[in-house]
Amino acid sequence: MMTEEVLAFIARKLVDHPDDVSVTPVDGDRVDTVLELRVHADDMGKVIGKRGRTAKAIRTVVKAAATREGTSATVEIVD
Amino acid sequence: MTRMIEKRASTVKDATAAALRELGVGPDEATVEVLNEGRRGLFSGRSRAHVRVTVREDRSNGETPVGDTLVTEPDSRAEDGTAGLETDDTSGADRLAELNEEADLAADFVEGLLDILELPGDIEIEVDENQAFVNVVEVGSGLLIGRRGATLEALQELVRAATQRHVERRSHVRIDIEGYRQRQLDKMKDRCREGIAQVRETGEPFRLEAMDAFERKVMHDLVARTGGVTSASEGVEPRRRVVVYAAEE
Repeated sequence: MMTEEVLAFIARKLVDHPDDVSVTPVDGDRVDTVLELRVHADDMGKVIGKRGRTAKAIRTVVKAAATREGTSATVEIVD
Repeated sequence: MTRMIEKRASTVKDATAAALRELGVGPDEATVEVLNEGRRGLFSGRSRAHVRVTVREDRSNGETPVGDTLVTEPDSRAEDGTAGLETDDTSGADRLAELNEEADLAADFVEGLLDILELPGDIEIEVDENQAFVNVVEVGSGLLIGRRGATLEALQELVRAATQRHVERRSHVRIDIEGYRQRQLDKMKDRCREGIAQVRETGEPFRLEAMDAFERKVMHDLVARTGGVTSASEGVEPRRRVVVYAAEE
């Protein structure tokens, strides 16, 4: 799925441990997919950013990617 | 002054032609370096052709020294003492190399995203003394711009975070898609001019909208070129804004 790929691509660009990035779709309802993002413990700050600025930007771009597939997606950063 | 442009397009020929057009020079006035031939393919094998076109500094002499035609690295050009790019502690050549590196990282980010989303688009990279610009054109979709530029703004934030991680200094790369932010900047300049006129008339300070560092600098420069007014920034990022004041004589 394109949207998952976009999320994983962005996350890998932001972290120090790209091999530890994983994206798991969990069952949301049919119109909205929840994507769980996991990164290395040391990289949590990198994907969240100051006052959540980076996390917000990730969600915005991932949402745009999802509209290209005619769906919507919510990103949850899991530790 | 633009001295060098990089361009990524579907073929080397397209990329070179577009870069020359932008620089406003003929093929004999510039040096073309092919950084990637580009590969065609439907899926992951696809890559854009990537060229770097540099205006030759000797073009006004009408004479090309033998052996100089392949010198394209900005740092080796600056070493001959003609670049005159010293702006701060970092030498012009170092600065340009840093900005080139940032621009490349940013272009890779954007190109990767376009590929995953299966969007077309040519990428132009322009580097001047203080700033790198990465412009995506011919995308044929507003997807990455978003409502009121929200997606583009998010993209800029991510590119900033990603490049900053690699280069570990403040990022100076600005992303644009189909000229959207350039048009926004032009509107900001219009409002700034209106503000200047108002300050001159009333003597009261005029507050502009919140802007990023690059946009604020453009406004400060605009005010500085105008007599009778001065400007300062106030507030905290991302709500920092330029205020125009009447100059005290």
